[in-house]
Amino acid sequence: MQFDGTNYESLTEGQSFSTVEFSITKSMNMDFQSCFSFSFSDDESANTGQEEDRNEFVNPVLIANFSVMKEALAWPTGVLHARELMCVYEGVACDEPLLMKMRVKNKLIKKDRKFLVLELQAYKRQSGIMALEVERTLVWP
Amino acid sequence: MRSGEIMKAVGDSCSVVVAAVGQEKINRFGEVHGTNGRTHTDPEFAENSVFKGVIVQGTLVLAPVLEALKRIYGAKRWLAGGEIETKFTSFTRPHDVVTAVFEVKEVGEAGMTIAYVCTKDDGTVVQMGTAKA
Repeated sequence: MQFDGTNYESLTEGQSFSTVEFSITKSMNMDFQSCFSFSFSDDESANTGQEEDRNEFVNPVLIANFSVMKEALAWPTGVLHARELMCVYEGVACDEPLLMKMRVKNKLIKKDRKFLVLELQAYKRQSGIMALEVERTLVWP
Repeated sequence: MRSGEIMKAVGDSCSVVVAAVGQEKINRFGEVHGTNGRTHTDPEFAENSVFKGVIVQGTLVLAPVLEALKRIYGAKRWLAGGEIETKFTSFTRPHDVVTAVFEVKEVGEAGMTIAYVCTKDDGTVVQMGTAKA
């Protein structure tokens, strides 16, 4: 298989990427929420994407979406997601303008596996408040 | 224990069943979330890869876990300092049902720590971690 993304060796610890401006639209949020459902084991009905409380604030997983990351980094086929650390500081509403800053926090090779640790910080554009911080560990092919 | 809403003391627990997803939902999630690599969205490609079939995005299991935690802690508390650390330990395949079990491990001034484990019906742990708020 031909390698089709950013080369691991070209990434350096501390490297920052261009800040990305984005927002999560209501339509994106509804699409996202419609992809999964869950139920507490003693509840009678599943919690579906139509629930009001699920639409008031954007799920942090969607804020830290991979599309934003891919604007900064060419993504090869076969990347594995190994670990995620998320700190939620403030709820984000749909259509709220956000800025995502991203940098390479760490690189390490263990048992021939190339680990890449990225730090992502989502800020509210208007207030400058950090809403979400993520440390994402990936295994690069 | 109903819905995790009264989890307050060490040892309290609840479980959440995350419904199985098929290829259509995997693809839609991939489009909106950016996890649309061929190992997720192209069954033929995935079958012939080292993964021997489609892998459900780990974040597609994590997303309902976060919704459940928001309900357990309450939105106000969770969205003002909630933390989660997750390790993705194995693959989830299309049509796998995953059960997440949450258990309170510590309660103190700094908040309540909950450990969680997501397991498939065959006993395989697909992700696990701790949350705090």
